Amino acid sequence: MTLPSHSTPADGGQATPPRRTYPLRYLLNFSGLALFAVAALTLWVVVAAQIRITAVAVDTRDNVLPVIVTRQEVARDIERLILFGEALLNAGDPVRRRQARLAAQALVYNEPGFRSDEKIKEVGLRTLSTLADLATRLGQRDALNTEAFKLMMELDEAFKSPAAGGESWQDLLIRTMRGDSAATLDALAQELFAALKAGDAKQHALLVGKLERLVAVRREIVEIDHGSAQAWESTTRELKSVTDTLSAQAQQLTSERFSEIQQLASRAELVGSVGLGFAMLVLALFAYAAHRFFLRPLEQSTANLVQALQGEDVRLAPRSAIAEIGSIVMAAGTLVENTRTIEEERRKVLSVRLDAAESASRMKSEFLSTMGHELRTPMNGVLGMAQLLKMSELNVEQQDEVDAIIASAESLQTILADILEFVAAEDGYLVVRPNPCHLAELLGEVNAGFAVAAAAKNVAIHLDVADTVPELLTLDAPHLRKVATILLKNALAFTAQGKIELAARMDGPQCLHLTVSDTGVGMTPATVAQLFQPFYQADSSHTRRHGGIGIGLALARRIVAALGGTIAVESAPGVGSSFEIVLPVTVA
Amino acid sequence: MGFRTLCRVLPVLAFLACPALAAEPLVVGVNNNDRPFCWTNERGELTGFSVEIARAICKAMESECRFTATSFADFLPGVVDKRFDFVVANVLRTAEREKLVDFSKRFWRSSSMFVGKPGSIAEVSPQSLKGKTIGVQKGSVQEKYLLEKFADVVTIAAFATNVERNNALVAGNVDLIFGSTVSHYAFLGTKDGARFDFVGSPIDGQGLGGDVAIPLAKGRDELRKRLNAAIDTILQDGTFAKINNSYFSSSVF
Repeated sequence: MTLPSHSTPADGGQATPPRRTYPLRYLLNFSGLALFAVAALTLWVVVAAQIRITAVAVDTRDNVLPVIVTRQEVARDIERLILFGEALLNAGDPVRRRQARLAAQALVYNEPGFRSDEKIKEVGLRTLSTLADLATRLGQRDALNTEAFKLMMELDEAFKSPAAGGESWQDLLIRTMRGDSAATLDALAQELFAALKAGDAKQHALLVGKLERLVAVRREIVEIDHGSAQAWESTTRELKSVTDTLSAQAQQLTSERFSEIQQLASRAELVGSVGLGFAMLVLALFAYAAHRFFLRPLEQSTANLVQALQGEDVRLAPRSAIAEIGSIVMAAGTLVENTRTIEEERRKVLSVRLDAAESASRMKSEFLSTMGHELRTPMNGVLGMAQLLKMSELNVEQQDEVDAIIASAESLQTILADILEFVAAEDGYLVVRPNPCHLAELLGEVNAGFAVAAAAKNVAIHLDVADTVPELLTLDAPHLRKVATILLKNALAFTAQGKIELAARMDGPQCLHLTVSDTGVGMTPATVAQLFQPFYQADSSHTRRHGGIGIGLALARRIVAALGGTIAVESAPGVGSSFEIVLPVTVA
Repeated sequence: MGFRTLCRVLPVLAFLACPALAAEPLVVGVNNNDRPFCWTNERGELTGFSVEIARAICKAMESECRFTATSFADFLPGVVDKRFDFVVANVLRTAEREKLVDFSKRFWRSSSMFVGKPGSIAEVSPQSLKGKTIGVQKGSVQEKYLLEKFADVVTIAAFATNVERNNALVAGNVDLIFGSTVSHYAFLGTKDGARFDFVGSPIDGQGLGGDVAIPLAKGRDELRKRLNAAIDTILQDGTFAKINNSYFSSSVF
């Protein structure tokens, strides 16, 4: 396991100088205050704008609307005043003229609109005086008109002669009564005088005076009519210009006020949305900051701790600007680092121990190998000399003694060979050389090797090679022989009486089962578990009874393993043991 | 469902309907002789602008009203003594009167003017009024004004009703009369009034002009609210304009 570096700048690891950090409560206080300030400011601005709108609305209701309404009322009252004036002008009798004038007076005197504004008051009073004047003039006109009518009747009655120009005297008089301009009256007067001249001279002197008076009265009436019409027209014009001005002012006031309110409302709307947007932005920033500086470091630290405790490789969490979070992250980092150090140290110790063990084992093998060779050379010497001695002339007693020497030497040689082979197998030097081989013969030879010893112990050894086993199989005969020998020797050693069976069978075309079973002492499961360890013996007393150095089964297992097979054992104390070897083979 | 059950079960209905049905008729004070505001016609019925307005208000309030005709000077004492629930007449709302009684919102308004022979005075001043005898209605703001301003130069003749005051002018017992412009307008339109005219200029400061409203006893806020609502109703549904136009040439509101 390799440990990555944790001091890269991106990680802001423990190695870099510590950045400035701030305690969480300050940050929270600051954030809260900032948010509060922004929200309060926005709210204040919006509320201020709304208060302003309300104030404008109240002002509109209390000050502007009454002005508008008053102006409209005054305009309406002036229209009424004009109507009263028209009524006065058109009234045929003084009573109706008085009624019209009183109505106008009541209006101007009673309506506040005619008194609050100086200009309108003046216009109203002037109109009243115009109406008073008109009433007087119309009174005079009434008198004149009565006189004119009387004169006309008298003239008409006094002078019946037809007119010279075809038009009758009466018609001329009627036209005179209707004439509405000075010029027309002058022309008519000439015609009338002409007609009068053409008539009866007796009446002439009397009628001329009356006719002159009639024409003069008519002239005065026409003048009064013209004067009244002019006076009233100019008054009407003035009144209408006042109403037009008032209406225009009312309209302007209305539109001004509404656009002001609209402007304020849209400003409030703008401020409100900008403020809201800003508050949202600040909130988003806070959320990001909380994630970036609070949640993520915390989350990663937790994950790191879990990972570190499970022995996995970890990246350190980024440092946080928040002091408390920074401390947690740092603590987690320290913990992770500590865990790593402990792990590393443990690994180092283990590897040192392993190295030591391996080296000890190698030294042991070298020692054994060297010792084996060193032992074998003198043994060969001993055996060779003993056999030379046997060939010399010896008595029977000496013969026996030499035989004993030879047997002991051979036994020693076998043990030495076993040890050397075991060492070789231990070092991984075992060379496998498969060759075609007659299995039944091979097993028969092994069996025959133990026939004497078995007979001596009164134990029968049965060889049972199944029919399915082919005659020739390709396998490493010397090693198989070695294994079979070890197993048979072991079985014979632990079997006091009964029988031993050596059996071979095929399980499929390429799998050879070789079984060695006995009716010996058997083993406990604890013994079975330790059985294939080198130098292990089920019972230390056994060494004394059965001999052997305890490497047989270990050697057998190593050989089987080298041949690519397995070895297994089943055993029960007092019943016996059964060893089974499974070997891959090919039919030769 | 019996009447009592209805009142118990439906408190809202009870609130609206039961007091109106069950309560005593409201006593409304009106003027006993003040054309065109209130007078008794040939059939012995009370009629006039104020009476018609009062009837319209009672109808809008869905209340039964009983009219009591009395003189102007008796109105405010009557309201204070609770002899009248309210008074519909030409009572101007002034700060001084508001100390005694509560007022509804206005239902018409007026200024004050002098009436006399045409051209008898040009402007209202101590000089022009010096030595004149002036008729006023007793208890009116005009009487108070004359007493305060011109008591040392004029003779004040106070009359219980406007009709008596006007008759005094016609009979030549007073040189001028001083009163509400709207009231004068009606008088000047009559045959008796034809010889006279408005003189001087209208006066509406010093409590002589402004809102004519309905006085009622202090603290009767419920009644005041109902009166105000009724005034709004008759202004909006055209009743007021109809009554107004049958008495006056222009709106007195």
